[in-house]
Amino acid sequence: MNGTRFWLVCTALSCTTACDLETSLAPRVDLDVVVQPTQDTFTTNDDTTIQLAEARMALETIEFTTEGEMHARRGLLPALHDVLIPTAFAHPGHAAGGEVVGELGGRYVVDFLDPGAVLGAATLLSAEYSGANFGFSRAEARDGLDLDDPIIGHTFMLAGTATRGDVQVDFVAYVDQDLDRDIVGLPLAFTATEASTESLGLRFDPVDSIEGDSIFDGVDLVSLDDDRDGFVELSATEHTEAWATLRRNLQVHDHYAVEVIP
Amino acid sequence: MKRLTTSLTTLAALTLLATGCDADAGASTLRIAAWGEDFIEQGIPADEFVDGWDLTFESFVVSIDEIDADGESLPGSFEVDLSEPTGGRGHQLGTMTVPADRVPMVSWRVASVSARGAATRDGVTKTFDWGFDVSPKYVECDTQTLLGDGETTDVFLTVHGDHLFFDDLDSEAPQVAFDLIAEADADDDGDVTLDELRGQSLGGQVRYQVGARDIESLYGFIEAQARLVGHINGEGHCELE
Repeated sequence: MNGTRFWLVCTALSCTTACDLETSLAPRVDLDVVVQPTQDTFTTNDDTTIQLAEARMALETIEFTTEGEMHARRGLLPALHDVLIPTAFAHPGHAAGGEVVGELGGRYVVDFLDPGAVLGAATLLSAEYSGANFGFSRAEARDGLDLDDPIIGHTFMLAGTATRGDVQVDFVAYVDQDLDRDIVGLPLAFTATEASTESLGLRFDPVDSIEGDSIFDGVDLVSLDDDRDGFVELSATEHTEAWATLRRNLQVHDHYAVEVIP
Repeated sequence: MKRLTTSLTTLAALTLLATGCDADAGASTLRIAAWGEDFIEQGIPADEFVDGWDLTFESFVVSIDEIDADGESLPGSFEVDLSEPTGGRGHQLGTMTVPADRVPMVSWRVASVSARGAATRDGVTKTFDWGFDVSPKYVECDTQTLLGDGETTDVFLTVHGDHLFFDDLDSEAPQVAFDLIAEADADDDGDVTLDELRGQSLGGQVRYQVGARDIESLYGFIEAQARLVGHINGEGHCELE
């Protein structure tokens, strides 16, 4: 992610706008990032009802971006800004995601079934924000987890029940995203000023609110219980094809949102 | 390191601009060539493929236009078969005169990509003859070369043929692979058609990840890769407009 780059920009803005320490900081504000409620019951494209009992995700650094002009981007600053923020390249792995002018740095294991939890305070330069990005991570004990927490080593841990007709199975899924995967371009319409008092909400949408796709579409959990013991595990080594489908579904940015909380 | 070098070069150029733009800096000549490197001219050897295929291109035709360097354009549309060997010189497209004492930023468009060739492994050969109507425009291609007054500098509009066979759209280090393409040969006639690529679903594939893109078939995947083949001077990067 671009955390270091973000702070380089902050420093550059501070130094180039004025030399007086008291007045040199570019206008900015710290706003809490808060976990938003998640739809924990939904239906897949094969009419299976999913009841989530656990939905956790490891991420690293949420960036807030603007496509417009930064307030202080004038004079020599645009050139300096362009030096400090390398632009997207026409090459796999480099995705356009706007100019990063705000961020919540650090590693987090987000419990989407614990709404209201505060992840931390994001620092945002005064600007018109139009988007947000974050990077997938793999959970580690240093993320504040117990040493035997089963999410350790994984990006997602999803668990619950899947019911179709009169058949119900319990499931758990451990999904690992590559560490160079980002969710890029979450829509965000927000003007940050030094006087802003809003919070920013991070939401996980198991069902895409526009297209209706669910994260378990194409993953027939009921049929996967081939030994009829009422339990299905999805992992890199268990039901790999279904696991890969779930992993793909979880890379789609339609399943995440950042919103402004008054 | 490459990014740092790029930044330092750009910073040097900025310093030149800041210390004074000399209107009498002179002129420099850019000699523009299209180049497919050894991978397109000679083939992609088996040790480049994660699954051991050996691939050669019978033809690799690109249509290039909208060539520009710092606002100076090279008019015309150029259809070039990059598989024809050039000994590293590339296919000359023309020359342009641009101001000296600067690092030129180049832009260019690939209007279409057509690749015909064959991949072989263990006595099995799969042929392909594909065309993609992609039209990526590459901009801000950093030549990383400070032009001298009166000098002639070669600029290579570089096409990376191996990118068509990458197995990931987002990874910083994708693998070059052919197994899934070979599996797409549904009628097993030895030729992998575009329709067969369309019929090869990516669902359930551990590799061939596409992120949030609406891509479900191998055709869509390779078509997306075809948009990313353009570079500058070998490994130099461009932005995709």
